[in-house]
Amino acid sequence: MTLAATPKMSPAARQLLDQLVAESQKLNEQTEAEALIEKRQAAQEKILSQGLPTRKDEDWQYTALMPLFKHTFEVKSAKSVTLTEIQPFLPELDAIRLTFIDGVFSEELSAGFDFIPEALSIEMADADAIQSINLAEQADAFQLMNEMLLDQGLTLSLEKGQALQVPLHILHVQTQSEQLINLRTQIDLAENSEMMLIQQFVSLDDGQSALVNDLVKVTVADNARFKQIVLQDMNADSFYFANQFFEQAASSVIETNYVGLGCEISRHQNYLMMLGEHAESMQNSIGLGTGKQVIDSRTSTTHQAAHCDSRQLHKLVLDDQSRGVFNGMIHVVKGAQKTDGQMDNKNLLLSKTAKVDAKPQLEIYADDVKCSHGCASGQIDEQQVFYAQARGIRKADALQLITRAFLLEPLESVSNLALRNWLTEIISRKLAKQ
Amino acid sequence: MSEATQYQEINDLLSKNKGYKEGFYTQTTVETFEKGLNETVVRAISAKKNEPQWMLDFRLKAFEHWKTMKEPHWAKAEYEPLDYQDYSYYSAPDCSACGDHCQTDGADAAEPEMDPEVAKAFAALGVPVYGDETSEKTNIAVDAIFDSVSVSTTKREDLAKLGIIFCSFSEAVQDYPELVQKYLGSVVPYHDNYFAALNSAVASDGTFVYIPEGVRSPIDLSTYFRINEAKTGQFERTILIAEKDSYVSYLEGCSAPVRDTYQLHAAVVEVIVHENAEVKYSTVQNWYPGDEDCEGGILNFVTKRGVCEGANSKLSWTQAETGSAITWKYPSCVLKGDNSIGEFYSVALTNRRQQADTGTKMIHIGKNTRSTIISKGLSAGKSDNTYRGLVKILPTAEGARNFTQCDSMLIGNQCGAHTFPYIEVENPTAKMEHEATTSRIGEDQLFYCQQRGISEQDAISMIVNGFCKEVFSELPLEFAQEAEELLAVSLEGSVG
Repeated sequence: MTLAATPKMSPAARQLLDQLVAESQKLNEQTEAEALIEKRQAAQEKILSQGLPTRKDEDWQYTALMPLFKHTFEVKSAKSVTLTEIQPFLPELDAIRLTFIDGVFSEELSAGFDFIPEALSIEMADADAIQSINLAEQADAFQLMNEMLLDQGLTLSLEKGQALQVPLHILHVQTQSEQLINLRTQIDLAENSEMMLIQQFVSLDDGQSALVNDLVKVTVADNARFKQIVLQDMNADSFYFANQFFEQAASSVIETNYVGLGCEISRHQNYLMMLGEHAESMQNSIGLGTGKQVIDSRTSTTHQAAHCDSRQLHKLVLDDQSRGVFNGMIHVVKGAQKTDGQMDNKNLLLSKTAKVDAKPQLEIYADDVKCSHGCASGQIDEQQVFYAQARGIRKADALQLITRAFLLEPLESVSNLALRNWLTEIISRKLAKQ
Repeated sequence: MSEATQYQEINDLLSKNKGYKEGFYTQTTVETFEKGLNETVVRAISAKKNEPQWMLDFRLKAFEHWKTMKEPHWAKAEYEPLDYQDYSYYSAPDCSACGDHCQTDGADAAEPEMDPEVAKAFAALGVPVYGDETSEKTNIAVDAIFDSVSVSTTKREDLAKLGIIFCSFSEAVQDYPELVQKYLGSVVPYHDNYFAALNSAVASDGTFVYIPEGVRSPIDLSTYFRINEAKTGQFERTILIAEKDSYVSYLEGCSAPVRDTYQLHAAVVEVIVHENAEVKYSTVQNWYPGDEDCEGGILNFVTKRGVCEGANSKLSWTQAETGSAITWKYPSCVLKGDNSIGEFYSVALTNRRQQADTGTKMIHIGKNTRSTIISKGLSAGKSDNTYRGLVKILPTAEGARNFTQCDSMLIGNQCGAHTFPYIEVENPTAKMEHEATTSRIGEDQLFYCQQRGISEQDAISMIVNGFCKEVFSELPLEFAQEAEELLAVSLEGSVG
């Protein structure tokens, strides 16, 4: 392997990259399948020639990765965890629960297998059963990292005409310091099927930094419905990078909500392709930053077919020295007439040192469309606080009440009441803590 | 409908459909430099203009820096990398025709001693270049720039009585070196970007405006830019300074002959607004857009920036962009003074294969600074129209306020309309709002008009003008009319 062509990077970034490539090599040594080795090597070469992102990259302009480069992450075997330890994280609702400790599936901590219908297949697939990502284009560094560290992936597929009666809940628990958790999930929904998926990321203890790199691929066939909640509530020393790829066919529905509360740096990116006519999509996100957190929420929505609707609502509340980033793109291709795309981003700054950077973008090549975006930033309206105070609500309570109401709006789309209450409670808890 | 009115209507349509009416070429004796760009050329331009050493040093410094830079291609416009050696960097009507006055004799420059061919060209464009003759009729002072030199500046004596300096940039370098030295590069430094560096190195001519303290300019000041020679670049440099409590409205217009190769226009405009002063800067940009495929149009790479230096100052940019093959232009406001105001009103129309990437930057530094951005993008034909803007609120900008509205209209299904706003807020007391919509002329709207006897073309014109009203109302009256007519001409044949 030649390192000569590597672009400019800080020595720290260089070190982390070299170390991750070494991790990938370690995996290769334990692997026999030639195809998989080649796949990883291709990704290695690409990431070495591209380097890790710097602030000069347009997509990373607002998200500085310096804190990440201070670490050395390794793939470690999972520690043993008891059910009582994870109990506090669990919602009180019927669900099929799959628990992963440091990225490794734990059967004893999982539950609700009785709910699994025959039509649903859940498998830990070997890497060769997983589709590779497309390396031809300028790929994101974390996608490449995911590819070169790919070992096993979770595949979920639901048969035609089947609806899952209870949500499928995937819990990821991080337990060790400097732990590298590389996740790959592939989900297929056949025609007329329906699934509700909850992905939850938590840390067992504070102070132990981990790097979660999640890559999810979801294919939703005609008339199928896919609903998703991603709750990221890891400790403030960890790092979370997720890339979710959605493809939806005609008349299908996708609803995805992201709640980002934890991590030093977190970045959640959706790539949504609306490929069939009359498809509907909704992408919401909630971000609450305190301390020195960086919360980055991004969407890229492509209207490839006519008559599709897309809706987005992204809300960020930023306190202390936290930094919020929103980046959204609605792309309407030629011929995707009667598109209705809407994107809203609203941000609330609670402290003098908090920052927000937003880039709501539209790229439109069809004329008969209705597309709009809105973006607003500000602080809590004094008049609202006064109104509440005039009615006997103390200032601190009033502030919290207003912030809470502001932040929870995207959750109104969550139809499962128990689930919504659970999320509300978790968010409120963090709000009350600050 | 009677036969007569029908006939009238057809006639009207035909008379309108004349395309780019400013596309003629003026045959005159000119002095043009050999194609190519190197240090000798930079020195030669400076020598030609009889410039002092500091100006030459500025040019050389910029040129050295430019050589280390790369041509930017991040804008949403596709173009082949330019061959900078294939342009001529200086072209002027030959001085032998009019004596030696065009570079040295500042005081008499307003006298109508210009080349008669050049004068004819401006007359054809409707630009009043003879101060005396038109002083009764027009309420406007004009600086006319032909390729690399300013050929006439009208009404300057009247203005001088008020202490207003209104002259070409070259003259200012000679006559007001301390002012030029103080402000040149203070808003747009020579290393700011690729085209600003190029401009600093080979700056041709431009306008210099200085409004002294407490003076309200009684008339509008304006500059008309004309590119005439083939394969030349125009690198105008304009500086506008408004001292305390002053006011000026400045207009700018431009055109070029029909050519089959791309021409380069890389201008730099610097505006400095002091305490309580107000500057209104309006542009109607109608550079030659090229043929049906936009071959040979003007490449318009412009850096315009103003700084609201003092408290309560105000800078307002208004632009109607209809020409150029490629437009790359972001008139910006740096709001330094407390309570200062920045405004940006823009209509950008693209047709055929034109590509426009335009917008603004509002940098809020001072307390209670306010900015408004209204951008209307119209794309027709196979064109791409992009709004790209930055609103940045720094931690010091307590109570800053921004409102942005970007509306795009698509005419036809072959074009593209894009919005790329950048919003950076670092102060919690700041309030910023951004809205963008994209739509098209509804069939029902057209039908409604046609049903009432309004022709399709007129109906489109009406709807488009309504869409742009908010911006046009900011333009001075004659300009607003011109802009409306330009829109109608540029839209000709884009529907149906």
